[in-house]
Amino acid sequence: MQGLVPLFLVLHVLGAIVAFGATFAFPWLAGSGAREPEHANFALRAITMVFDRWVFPLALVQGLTGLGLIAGLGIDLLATPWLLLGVTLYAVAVTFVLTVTMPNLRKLIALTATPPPSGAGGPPPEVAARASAARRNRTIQEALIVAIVFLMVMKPG
Amino acid sequence: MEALTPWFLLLHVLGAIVAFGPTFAFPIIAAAGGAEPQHGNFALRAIDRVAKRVVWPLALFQGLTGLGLIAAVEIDVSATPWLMLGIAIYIAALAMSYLVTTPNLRRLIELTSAPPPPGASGPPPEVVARVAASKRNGMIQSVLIVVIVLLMVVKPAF
Repeated sequence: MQGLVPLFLVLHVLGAIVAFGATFAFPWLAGSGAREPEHANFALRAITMVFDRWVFPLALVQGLTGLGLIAGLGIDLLATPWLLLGVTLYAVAVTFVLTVTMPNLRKLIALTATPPPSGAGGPPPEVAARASAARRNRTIQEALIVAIVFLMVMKPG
Repeated sequence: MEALTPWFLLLHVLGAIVAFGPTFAFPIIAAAGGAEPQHGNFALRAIDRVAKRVVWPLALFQGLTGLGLIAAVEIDVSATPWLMLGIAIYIAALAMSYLVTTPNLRRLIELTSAPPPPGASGPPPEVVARVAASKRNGMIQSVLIVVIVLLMVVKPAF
């Protein structure tokens, strides 16, 4: 198993770039959609498409390559607080995205699927509230990703 | 300087995630735009915006943290073939993006900024050719990024 460590490490680092890195395009895509409301729904659907087809499957693979690394290096997870914390944050991030971020995004897509009624002065209150929640969710997720990378690179303690 | 190594490494890894990661979303965003031509130009402009505001500045910053790491760890680059090759591929990827990929994308944005003339049965031949070139460029750059990561992680001895 130890001979597989370099392979797992390459896949793990590549996975971090490809799975989590792709999400850093989302705020810009959403921002572009907000500036051009006729494309807002498309922007949200594009974000969902990237998440469903790319980010989520690869985020799960990231967990598997992480387990491969733990097994390959023979690390005692329970005796390695920084790794235990990193794995916990990873589980929190995946749960948060599945139960909070994506449902909110899918509801936003449904709400923006039809143009607002004529004469509306701005987006409906629910759209505004959910857009604001989406921004907050993004900030939380980015903080979680940065914290996980910090733990994995610095291995504190 | 050696004490800064973990910090340069952290910035280098985070930089790789934030700078190069979004480029892997581009083909999906572009394909979504291609499937809904009324949003095609928007999709291309959104990609260009991410490239200009996120990918480019951080890809250059990535070079700086890389230099910081080399200085902190006191690596002799000329005696480290895997690192020399990695740096050469990084420069090649930047040059390709600046000279080939970005101009092609900007020209596509220009070409798709107006709807096709009435009666047109499909996109103009130049758009088709540039979309194909864009796909090819994206694939080449993805391969270059994967090779760089492979070299930086495995550090193979030649």
